Amino acid sequence: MKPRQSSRIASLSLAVLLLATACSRLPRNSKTLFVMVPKLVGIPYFNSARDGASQEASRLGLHFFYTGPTAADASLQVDVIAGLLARHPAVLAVSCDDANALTPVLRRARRYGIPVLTWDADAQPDARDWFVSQVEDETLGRHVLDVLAAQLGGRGQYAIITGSLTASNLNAWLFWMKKQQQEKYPEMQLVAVVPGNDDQQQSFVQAQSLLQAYPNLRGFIGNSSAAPPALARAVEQAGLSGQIAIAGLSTPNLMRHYIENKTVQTITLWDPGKLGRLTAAVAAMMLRHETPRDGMDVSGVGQIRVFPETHKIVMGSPLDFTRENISQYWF
Amino acid sequence: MTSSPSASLEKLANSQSKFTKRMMELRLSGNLQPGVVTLLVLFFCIYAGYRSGDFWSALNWQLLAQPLAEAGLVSLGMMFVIASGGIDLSVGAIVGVAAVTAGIAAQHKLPIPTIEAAALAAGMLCGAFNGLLIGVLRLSSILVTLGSMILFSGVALALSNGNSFAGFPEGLLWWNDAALLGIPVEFFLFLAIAAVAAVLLRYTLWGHYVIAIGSNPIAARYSGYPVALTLFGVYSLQGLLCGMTGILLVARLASARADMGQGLMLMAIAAVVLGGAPIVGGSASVIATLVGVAAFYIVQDGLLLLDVPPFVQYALTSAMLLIAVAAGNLLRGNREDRR
Amino acid sequence: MTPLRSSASERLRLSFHRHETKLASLLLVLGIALAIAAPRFFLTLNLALLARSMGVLLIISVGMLSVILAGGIDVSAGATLAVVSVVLVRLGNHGVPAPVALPLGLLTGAALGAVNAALIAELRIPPIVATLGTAGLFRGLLLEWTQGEWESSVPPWLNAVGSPRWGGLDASVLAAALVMLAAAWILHRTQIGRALFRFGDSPIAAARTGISPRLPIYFAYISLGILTAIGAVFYAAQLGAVQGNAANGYELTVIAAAVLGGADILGGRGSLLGTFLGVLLLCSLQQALVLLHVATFWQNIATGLIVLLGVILSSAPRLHRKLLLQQSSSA
Repeated sequence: MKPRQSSRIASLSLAVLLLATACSRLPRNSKTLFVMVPKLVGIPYFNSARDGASQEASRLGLHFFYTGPTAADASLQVDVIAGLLARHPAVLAVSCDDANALTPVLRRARRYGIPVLTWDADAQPDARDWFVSQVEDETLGRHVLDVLAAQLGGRGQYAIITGSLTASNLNAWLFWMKKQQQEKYPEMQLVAVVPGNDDQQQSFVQAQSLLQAYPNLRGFIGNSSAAPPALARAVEQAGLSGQIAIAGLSTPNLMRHYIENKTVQTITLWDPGKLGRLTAAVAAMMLRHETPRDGMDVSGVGQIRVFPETHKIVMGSPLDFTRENISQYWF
Repeated sequence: MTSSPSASLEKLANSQSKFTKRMMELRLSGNLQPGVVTLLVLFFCIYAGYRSGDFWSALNWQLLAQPLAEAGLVSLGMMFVIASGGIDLSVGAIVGVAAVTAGIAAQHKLPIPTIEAAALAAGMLCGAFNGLLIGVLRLSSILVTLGSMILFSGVALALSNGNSFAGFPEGLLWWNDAALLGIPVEFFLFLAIAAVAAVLLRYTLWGHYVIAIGSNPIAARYSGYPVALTLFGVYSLQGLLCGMTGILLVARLASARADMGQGLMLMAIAAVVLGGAPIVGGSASVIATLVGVAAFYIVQDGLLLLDVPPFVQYALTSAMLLIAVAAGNLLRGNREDRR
Repeated sequence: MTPLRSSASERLRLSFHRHETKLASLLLVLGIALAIAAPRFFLTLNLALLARSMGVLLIISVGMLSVILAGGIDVSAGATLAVVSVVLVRLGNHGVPAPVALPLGLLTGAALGAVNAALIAELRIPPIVATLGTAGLFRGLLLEWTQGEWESSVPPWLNAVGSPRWGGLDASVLAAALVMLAAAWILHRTQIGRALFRFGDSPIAAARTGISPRLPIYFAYISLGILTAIGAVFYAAQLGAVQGNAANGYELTVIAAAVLGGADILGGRGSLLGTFLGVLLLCSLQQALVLLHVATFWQNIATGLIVLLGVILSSAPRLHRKLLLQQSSSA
């Protein structure tokens, strides 16, 4: 009885497993396998990057594979990448959850002869061949602060809601935002930097509480795509639309409603799809043993800046979305 | 105890006879779950190996061995906790505290043994805190560790100010790079600790107390068993093992963050349960736990190599847990365990 | 000698007098501290904000209470919340009117709860393991279905539900009050409610008094599913958007609230008033800490300490009972 039951269960489970994995594609030709890893899967920003990269990759004849951790956790991401190394991809491109944590495994990948790119968020310079960045950190940070300052008239209290406190790119932008404010707008006062952890509900609650805790608060910056919509929502629900300035980084789709109803005037980002395309293009270049040149024109992206000393590629300038132009963008 | 091995178990007996014999004589009388799981995983490995050329490569298993070792240490600690009738939700947070402690020690340029000792001590302290509340004050383990999880993660965040530490000395990072015969040193450490755990469980009085308390706490108390001390030891040991995992994680990631080890809690519980240990306690087996941990990591890795999208991976591994436990229950003949 | 096998309602009354008063005194202490340190807390607007932040948590905590009363636990509540939110918003955004979408959402919640109940009652999987598995299953399948796309806008009828009116309160407060009243009636005045207590206390004894082992489990988990669905309505309404990984870890907050409120994890003991006070304590603590300009890290530490305190307080009656048991058996 028991043995028969157990083998029945075993075969049933096996059938289920087989069925579930039957949809998997056959193993790729690893010579043209381009693997792209975001900070985490399931965020519209990274989905756009993926789509751009996937299009460009198939145009360039690369096999595109996209996977990543299900949460913005560096150790999860390292596990995923370690697992991928066994497939000997032709090129690996990673947006790092943590610059330090990813470095050992990326170094290892390079030791195995796999060219490594970082995109969107960097690792340590010796762990990657090139860093494909969307905008210079300094440019972005200063610009977002300028957007806020313009709405505040250069004075007043403001707070920043960021994503995760340990994300290196977010921290870099924070650094330049603060610097810009200290240098150019001494009459503005930063009262709090709180983590929203890329969760809308947490960002929402934090924003509401901040509004209560600092009655003279005049502005918010949402540093990470989940924060601005939640901020705007909190301001809207408190009936303060138009009285509290909001600036930050987010996608047009997430902010459309608030820009149209004037709760938010400007939201900044760049085109993650373009970033994805650029990453795929650079990956193809690596496979052809070509070196990116400063000022070169990449199809679908435009002119890029290349810094050979730091092995950094910069896609372009920040893009502001306002009521005037938001209808042109859909991501 | 089963009298005659079934056909599938006979196959196991031929290839891994020592393990199977041990499994039989373990106190998991009639627990065929590790066997079922091993079988499923074996089938899966064959399938994965067939569909993906990379699955059986040495590199794959080398890379697999490291996170497996880390999760395995925590799972061993969880095995003792669950055997004693409790559960520990704070393991991820304790790993974070240990990692951050190592980070602070490294920042102060302390010698490597001191860094490691600091991390171990931090872990043990957290574990002892749990042990005090659960063992001495006899509070519910799930609730205490829920609270201590929040507390410890707050402590780790406060200590690290939300930043990640870097700049660890090469000697510490050795744990990540060193390998013997191609197998990472971490894995050997894990096996060694597993052996120690097995000895503790079967050959010491303390191990006996743990099992007894798990299977019948009132009887254990009436028999004069030192319940408070035993439970205190269980959770302190768990804390120590979390500290070790913290050090290994720091070495592998060359950095320390407060949120390291977040996913380890669920993994550890799932691994122990997958191995067939009843969640109410009273039974434990190091081998079963090893099977559970290995099953999870092997299946996850295989799914990754099979191009299964990450969310489906997540869903599948959860489904695997449910199927395995249900199967184990059916085989065990509907034992009354509600919690 | 003190009789130990008292009726469920008598025991309930006993615990009513013990734990809830301790909790209330804790709240009183917190209130006094706030009145001195941050009197802004008691502004009408802020209190309304507090009430709104409690709504969703309270509704779901009532469901969790019934599950804990029956001796079980559910760590998949966050995943269920996310699934129902997405279902509701997607249906609504595709033009499905509220009278159709809402019942469908509730049905989804009930179905997910039934899955949990079936795993526990039929397959005899222990509740923590079963719900751990379903949490991963639900969340994984949800994210695969949405492909990580967020719903960045909600249908207007949902928006209206989440908007503040009546002096800063919104419909969630009303709903929470109704849920509490309904739950009080069901738990204390109906057969099934009282059966929950008895079953949670001792399934064997309950079986002997004619309560089938399945019914309380199904009732408890399906109720939690339905209540989570109701919570999802307000969750989506308040945020105005739903992300794929919404409410990650939310169930732990819910459990903490129920436990703070005196629910005994072993089953059979707990009260609605206690749960309400637990939710109140957690939410006011959160708000208070932000008002006091306390850094986010310390919020975790404070919350953790409060939960531990609540656990210590709530276990006092059980220890007392154990002592009585020991005394009586040695007598």
